[in-house]
Amino acid sequence: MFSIGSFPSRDCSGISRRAFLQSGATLPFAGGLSTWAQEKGGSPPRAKSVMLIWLGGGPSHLDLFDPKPKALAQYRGPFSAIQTRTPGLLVSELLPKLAQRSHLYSVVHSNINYQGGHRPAGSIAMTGTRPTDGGEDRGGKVDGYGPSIGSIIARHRQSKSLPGFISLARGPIGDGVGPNIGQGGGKWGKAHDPFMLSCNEEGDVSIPKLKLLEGLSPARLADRKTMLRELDGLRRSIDSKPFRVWDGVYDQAIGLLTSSEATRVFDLSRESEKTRQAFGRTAFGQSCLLGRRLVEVGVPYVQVNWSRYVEVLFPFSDYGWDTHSDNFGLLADWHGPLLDRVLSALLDDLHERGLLDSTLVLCMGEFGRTPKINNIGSRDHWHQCYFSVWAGGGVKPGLVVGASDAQGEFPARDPVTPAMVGTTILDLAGMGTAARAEMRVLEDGHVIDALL
Amino acid sequence: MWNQFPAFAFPLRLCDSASIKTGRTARLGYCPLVILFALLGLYSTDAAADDVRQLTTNGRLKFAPVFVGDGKELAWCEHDQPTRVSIIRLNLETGKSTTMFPNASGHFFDPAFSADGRYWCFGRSGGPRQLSLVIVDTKDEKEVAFEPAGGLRATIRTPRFTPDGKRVIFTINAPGGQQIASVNIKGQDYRPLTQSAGINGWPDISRDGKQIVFSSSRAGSLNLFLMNIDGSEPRQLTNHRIRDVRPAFSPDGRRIAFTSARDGNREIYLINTDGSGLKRLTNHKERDDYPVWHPDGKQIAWIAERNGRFDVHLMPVGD
Repeated sequence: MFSIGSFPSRDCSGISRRAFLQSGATLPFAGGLSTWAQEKGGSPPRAKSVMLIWLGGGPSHLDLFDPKPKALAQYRGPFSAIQTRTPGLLVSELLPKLAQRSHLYSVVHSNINYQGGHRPAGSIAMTGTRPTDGGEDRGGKVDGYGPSIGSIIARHRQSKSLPGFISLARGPIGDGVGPNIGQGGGKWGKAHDPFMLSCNEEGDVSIPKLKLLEGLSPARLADRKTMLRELDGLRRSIDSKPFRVWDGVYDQAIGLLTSSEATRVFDLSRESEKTRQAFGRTAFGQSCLLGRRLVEVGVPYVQVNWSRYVEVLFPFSDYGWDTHSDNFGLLADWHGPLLDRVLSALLDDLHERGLLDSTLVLCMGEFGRTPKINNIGSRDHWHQCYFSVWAGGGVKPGLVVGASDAQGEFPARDPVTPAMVGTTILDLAGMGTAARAEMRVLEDGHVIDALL
Repeated sequence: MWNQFPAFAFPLRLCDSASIKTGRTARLGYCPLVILFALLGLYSTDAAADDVRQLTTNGRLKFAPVFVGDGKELAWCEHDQPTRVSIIRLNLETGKSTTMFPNASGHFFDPAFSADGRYWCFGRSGGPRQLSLVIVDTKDEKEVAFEPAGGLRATIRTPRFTPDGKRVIFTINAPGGQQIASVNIKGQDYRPLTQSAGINGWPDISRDGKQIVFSSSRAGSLNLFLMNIDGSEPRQLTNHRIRDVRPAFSPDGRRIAFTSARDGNREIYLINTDGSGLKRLTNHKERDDYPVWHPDGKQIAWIAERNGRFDVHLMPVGD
């Protein structure tokens, strides 16, 4: 079922609880890759879609995908390492399901970033570029960053129906101080920001932006004709105001409201109960399922955010990976098992549907955490070395790329920069050197050859 | 012994609020399925399974259940809002559940209750510390907070009252590492109980007040240890490379329930306090965690993940 600003999934009886608008219209939909080669030239991309699973806050590499069982006790931590199906790859005991599926993905052990704060590091990781004005922690502005990788791909694909870059979160991601300003269009402007969707643990989907459209009410939107008339009037009204709040995002939102296909995509109750259960009834799990549905209809870039906030245990936080305190309790209780379940389910699902070959899944955060356990028995920020997980979309599975040193502090070989991450995503998404040069993005970037 | 917990045995997708449903009652509508699956060998017909009760049905993330007083109430932590963890109390006789501090904005973790019911405590987020220990005197209607040293990052988890109600022990993340310590009922007279390498946590106290069981990685991986109530004479109880955590003393002090992932998946286990008699109580492909003994010593409540949902369950435990 489908409603303005909110797309509640059906309840147990299969009946929508609060939908008040059902759309019957159909607009052209995403999935326009059939003509991709003719329009863009060259061969189609290996990754028709990209899913960035963003572990905001900085997941501990030693406690997840790069354990160091032979390290000193003050580094190693309390979790044991377990074998995977990939030679040379150990993962933490917190990830038994992912250990069994290592033939579906590869792991980079030598990611690096340039700043240690959540916002600048996150912006650098999401754009592949360093800020020209210092970044968020040094008074930098949004145009100091290049566009995010999602914005670049969306612009390149030029989807005219569904947004080309959809970010699933409760709102702009960031920490308690402010948002990551590099998560959107950057110097290209707000028109290239991601389209934000929110999905809760029951699979109810909402468009936070549309909640700002005062004047829309169930009574006034009883039928489609009325809806379109009301929307048109509302748009003219907003456009006439001195402050222009109507932008491309609203256009896209209205496009979604009038698209019967969007109605179907956002309705997670159309999935089998078995599938929904496999992802788990958490906001992260159901968001990843929604992400897969978006990929299925051809949305080029979907970012699923673990958390809108990154400060665990603070009021209003929702458990990002910023485990300065109680790292080992939090990871064992929530983060480890949730990631293990949801990422495993996502990989299984894409694989079983034959979508993994054409969908690049990248799972990472802005940095890792201190290999040396801090003085309160936890781990702090560490951007000198961390991990990323790559699957599908042209990536060779079952590989370990790069290596960290004995304590997990620095790359022992083959450091992977944010620019290399961004360039590799773009390359797999069909943006080779010429296309990047044309858009003037990551022109000097190098792909991570070992992954391809 | 109950060892199988099929998904269809309980109406897991009921959308009403927390309620008490016995396994027998909840399965009435599923008799044909039960028979079919029993014939297929997919369903345990063990008599004990009939006594397993699912106490909640909303499926939200839950943790840290504890019984209150004589066991007529159960409390736990629940993600009742997307960005909030609350403490929920459920009356097991009436089925009525209550959210503590329903209008608060912060998180509330890890409730514990004194044996006489006068005091209760919990971890509270907000203010200058990430999780402070709050001790509430319900008789005098006063509360005190213990703010651990260590600035913004210090955290208190897993508080437990001593049986005499005079002190609270807990896990503390503070300078010196993750250790176990205690304060008196006024939140004063801080006493470290462990000062070891590695991670120490999840303490529980025997009902006679003489011993503490806890988990520690001081020897490598997380295993169970016992020590005297003053922290002296620590001795290792389990020895496995995969973690054993969240130990809970049985009321008679003879056994300890705990969570282990030693078979690759979290299950509830029992072990005698002398290290003998290791026994697995649950066996499900999803997570079973947070065991807590009912005061009668005959049942254990725990959080079971079933079909991706988290609910409180209660199972009988034999001798």
